Amino acid sequence: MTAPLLSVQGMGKRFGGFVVLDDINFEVYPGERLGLIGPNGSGKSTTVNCLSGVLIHDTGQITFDGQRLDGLKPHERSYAGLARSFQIPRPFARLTVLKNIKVPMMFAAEKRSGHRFSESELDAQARHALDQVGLLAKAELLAGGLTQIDLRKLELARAIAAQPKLLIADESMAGLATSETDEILALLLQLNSQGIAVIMIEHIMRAVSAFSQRLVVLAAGKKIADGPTQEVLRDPLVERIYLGD
Amino acid sequence: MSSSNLRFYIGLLIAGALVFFGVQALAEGYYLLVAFYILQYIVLATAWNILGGYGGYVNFGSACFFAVGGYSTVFFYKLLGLQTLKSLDCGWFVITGPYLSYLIIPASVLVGALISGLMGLGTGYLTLRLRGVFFAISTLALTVVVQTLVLNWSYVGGARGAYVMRSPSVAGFTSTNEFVFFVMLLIAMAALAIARSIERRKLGAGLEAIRDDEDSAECSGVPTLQLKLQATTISGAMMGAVGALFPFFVTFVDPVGAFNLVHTVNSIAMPLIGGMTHWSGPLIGAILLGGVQQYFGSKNMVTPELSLLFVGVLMMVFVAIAPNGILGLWQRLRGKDVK
Amino acid sequence: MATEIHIQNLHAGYGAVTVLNGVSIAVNDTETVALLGTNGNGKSTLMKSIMGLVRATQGEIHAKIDGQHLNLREMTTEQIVDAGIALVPEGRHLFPKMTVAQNLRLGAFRPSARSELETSLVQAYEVFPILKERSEQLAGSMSGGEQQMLALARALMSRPKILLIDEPSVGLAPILVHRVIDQIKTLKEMAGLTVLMAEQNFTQAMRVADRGYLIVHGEIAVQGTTSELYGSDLVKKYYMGL
Repeated sequence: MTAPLLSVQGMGKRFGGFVVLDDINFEVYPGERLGLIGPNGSGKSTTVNCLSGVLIHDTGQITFDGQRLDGLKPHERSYAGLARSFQIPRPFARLTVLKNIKVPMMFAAEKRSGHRFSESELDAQARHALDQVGLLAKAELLAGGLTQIDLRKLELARAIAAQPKLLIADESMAGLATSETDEILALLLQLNSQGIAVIMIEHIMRAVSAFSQRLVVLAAGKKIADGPTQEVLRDPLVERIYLGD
Repeated sequence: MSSSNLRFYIGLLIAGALVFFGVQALAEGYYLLVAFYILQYIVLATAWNILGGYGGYVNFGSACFFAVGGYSTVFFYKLLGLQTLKSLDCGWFVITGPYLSYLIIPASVLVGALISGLMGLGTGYLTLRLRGVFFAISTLALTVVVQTLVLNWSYVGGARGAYVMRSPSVAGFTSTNEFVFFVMLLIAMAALAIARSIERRKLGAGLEAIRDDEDSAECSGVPTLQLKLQATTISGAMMGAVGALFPFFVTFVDPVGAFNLVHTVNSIAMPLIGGMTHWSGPLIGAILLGGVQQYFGSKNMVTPELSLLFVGVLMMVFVAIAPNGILGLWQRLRGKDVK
Repeated sequence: MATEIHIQNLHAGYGAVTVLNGVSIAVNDTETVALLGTNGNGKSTLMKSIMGLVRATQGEIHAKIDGQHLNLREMTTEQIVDAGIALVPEGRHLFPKMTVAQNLRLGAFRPSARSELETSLVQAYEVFPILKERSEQLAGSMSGGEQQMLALARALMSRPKILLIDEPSVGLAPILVHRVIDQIKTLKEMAGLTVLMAEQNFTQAMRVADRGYLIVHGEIAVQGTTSELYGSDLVKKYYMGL
């Protein structure tokens, strides 16, 4: 029985008197594909923010790759191997697409690999990453001018460039046409095949059921289901409060 | 060394030599004065831009960092009794009069840089954990507080000001002023080289990422607080360096002159006008704006207040039509994407 | 009395980039028209052009509100909203430091909506009960989906005659997508609202739309009734994969 890569125990978060997360427990195993779903306002993005360190959780503990993440700043968590993309893409708008990829490489990836990348190594790796997501032709464009789908791809590419062990993809397919969703899905599957565990937060059920091996369902800040994908999707409670008909 | 680096340094050395020998050849003290001030502003603008242009954190306290450099010179001058120093016995050799400046002036510059650098670090440490606006406000407050302290500190002259006596001559130069000018030239060249180096390395990339999206930068592994502190310290140190040199040029330092608002305004206006994303922006802005100010100031056509008004209007114009400065306009003309 | 939009040969874009290359669409009285197409193909630009947020370079944009003719290209955004056209923008654009209730009240800014503000507010809370629960919460602290609902409710507070909605279902849980589309359907049937809607969820869009246009690279590639769209090969390519 392999040890979990990520272990969340008793995690809680409140904003003033408002309890956003209440006793959240779940695990992610190395190389696993986990779907995190739930009604709007159930605490999914808050969970992601607490995992990445943008928010500090109030109770509980987060263990990643044998290391306690509690108290670590976001950049330190990226050194540990945890990467996340943002729900609404947040590129470095005034930098080129290529430089957007170089930043996580220079900081997170370099730290993780333990040795300094030379200028040429950095350039080659960055171009390779862009090529993988199909953005190589736009390498010299400013990130601020990209279309939505390209921004989503860049957002994922940046997270990948940090050479993570776990990628949290926060609604990376929202607002895309079916064909575009398929592109992103293919990208995530390719990533996973390289050994990166992925937590997918998504409302597009077609993608979630095609991608996830396991589902964790949140509702009103609590976990209400955790199990193999098809089982969870047939859970009557999940159907009632999330899926509708 | 890569070819682009080689070209830069050679170009820098040639430009420096041209400036120095050109001013020397013109033989009129006026040109030395103008060149000195422009060089001073090149450093102040470049220093400001490291934190403000690259990093997006606005410093409203350039005058304070500058003045602290100046007053550190005044302080140590008095403390070490350097007014009356005729020679210095260093053990196995003695430094006499005309050579004393080789030791005293650079040492003052380093001390001024150190103190202003530490002040930058301290201010940063207190306020950079909070987002943008708080740092800017704190630099404003810092200026007021430090100026008040200095005004009431009689040891460094208080409101009356203080005199800094320098050597009547410096070996190898036609006048002490010329030597001071030479040191300023070296500082300016160093400042440009440092800014360019930062721009091309991790620190520069990290600062730009912070400027564009700080949270996103953190999640990409950029240690944001650490880099912001580095930028504040380097920026403050550069300002302190030229501040520390200033008393040797004007020989009289007082709070009004040292903490002059024009230093703050110019250090922001020059990168804005020249362009904030490249090391050459502050250089262009300093030469253009500084040159204009010196020209009209010397002709007595313009009072200092009118000069400030002019800069203010100019800044508004640039923000409205050319927020990326002259460099931005140039890039747009060439059809490139403007940063 | 007729309420409709007619757009002829519209060219619009951002600076040097032209997004729309001669687009002509019509939205007739009480119709719901869907705009389909991959991102970056011009759906948002089209809606912004109607609202005067983006200046068209060429073409005609005309509307009729209760029989009165308006040339939208000659009007400012404020005038267009005052006339009774509302936009629910992509990306929501709420007032984050104001509460849900304040955002809703501000939605009824235009004079003819202000007189019916309290009625509209009651209706909004009926349609979206979660907004009533969170009425004193700051809009910026809500989840993405909740913000989406607020954005839609806010637009409805202006009691529009024509409603433009840019991606209503984006980021919403499946059950809510269903509910929102149901609401649009109800509004259409009961209030006789004329709706132009950009929607990537093809199945849901077709539940409520009468007709639709598929925009590819800034031009209309396919247009027709719902059944005609279902039969189109191009639509199948973009929307019925996997």
